[in-house]
Amino acid sequence: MMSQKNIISHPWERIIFKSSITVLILSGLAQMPLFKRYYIADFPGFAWTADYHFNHVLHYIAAAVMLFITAKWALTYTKKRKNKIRLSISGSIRVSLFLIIIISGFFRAVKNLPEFYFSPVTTTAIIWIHLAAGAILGIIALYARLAGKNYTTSFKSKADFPA
Amino acid sequence: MSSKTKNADKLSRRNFLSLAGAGLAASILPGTVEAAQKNQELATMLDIETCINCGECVRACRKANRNKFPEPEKPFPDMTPQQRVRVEDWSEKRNVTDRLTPYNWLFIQTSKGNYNGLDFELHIPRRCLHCQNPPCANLCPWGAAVREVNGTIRINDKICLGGGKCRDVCPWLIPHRQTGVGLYLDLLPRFAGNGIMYKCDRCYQRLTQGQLPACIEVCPMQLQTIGPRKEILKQARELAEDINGFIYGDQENGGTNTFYVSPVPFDVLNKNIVKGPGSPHLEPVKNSMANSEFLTAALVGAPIAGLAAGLLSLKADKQKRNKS
Repeated sequence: MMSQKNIISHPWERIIFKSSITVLILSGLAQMPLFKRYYIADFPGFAWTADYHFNHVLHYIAAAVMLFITAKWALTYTKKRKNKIRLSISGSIRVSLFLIIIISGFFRAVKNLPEFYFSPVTTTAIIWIHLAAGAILGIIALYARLAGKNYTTSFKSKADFPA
Repeated sequence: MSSKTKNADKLSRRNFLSLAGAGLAASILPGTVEAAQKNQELATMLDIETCINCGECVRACRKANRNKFPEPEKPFPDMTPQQRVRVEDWSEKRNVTDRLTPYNWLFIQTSKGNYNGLDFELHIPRRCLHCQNPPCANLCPWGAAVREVNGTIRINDKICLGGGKCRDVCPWLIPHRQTGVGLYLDLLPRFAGNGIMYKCDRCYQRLTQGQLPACIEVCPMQLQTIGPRKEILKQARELAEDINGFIYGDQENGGTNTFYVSPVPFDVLNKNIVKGPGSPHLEPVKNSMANSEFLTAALVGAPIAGLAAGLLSLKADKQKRNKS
């Protein structure tokens, strides 16, 4: 078996992706009235964590960056699957949860447009699914990181590696 | 035309409108119910010049909604950190009617002053304006505040945790908290939540039963008119034109479903009202959710751009492989 060299993503993409995820987690948590309650917003330079409107915008911007990278990777992965690159079980679970977060997040954004209407039950369900999927993915991602679980399984040939 | 005659004409037309309003009250109910059944957006118009500050609407609101009022469990659980998380307890002050509280979702604000050399005293029933793009419902992290199909903004007291974000993002700081009630007591009362947030829900239960909101039904002056938004906005504009007056609520925060019509400009009224906790202002309000459309467009455009970048990258890789 070849070494698990990553041919889906470039290092700079991974840095941007990880940065956007960090911002998404922070601005997502900042949607809850916790940062002010627990004095985090009192730290110098952290006042923004208690600004709901700022974090709302920040969450959208970070989501757009994340979606850009995700779409690029998804396309690359689809093409490379021909060369027997497959998601591992751990990777499949994480990608599925990630998709749920993206889809529910998209519906959350649509819900915020006055032209669109979702019933109260649907609205609450979308929000809870977004929150739950985020929390579960966080736990599984942490476990995968500690246990050294990779997203993908194996590669077919050296020729698939980027130069 | 002398100003006296002009005023007489205005009064005459006003009287006509009042009479028409009284007649309308009889006919508006079926129209409102029909609009609600058709899932149309409902709005209310308040002709504040006609308010006599009798307080009937406040009493009717309290009576119609008393089964929704909080019955907190005491003693309240300790909350962490105590210095930052304040207990908000209105259960011993249920009789307060001169401001918004969890037990008083409507109050009458009085503005007294001088405009164009004439003294005025106007009374303004104040409650949630039911924004068209409500930041309270859009930004509630728990899905407790929601927009209903008829434009009513409601807070679900079964799931509200009382974090108070809805009040923080409301341009008028309308929702009010009662500590010691709600779901947070069953979760982590020490560490998250602080009760339930309360505000006007436009008597949704009465609307679904084919009745008018209590404050509208009981008003002896037929101060309020409710109906499909387009029609009510048209009426508000006609009335404003008729009295050479002003509208508040049609543009505020991107548009609300409450239109106040006044013969005195709202900046003048605003200068002459008591403002503070539970007593909202009448200032112009920019649309706090205005950037949602642009940002949502970015969310749609980003993955498309990502796919395009992916295609270009794959093409470049292929060319590189072919060369080598």
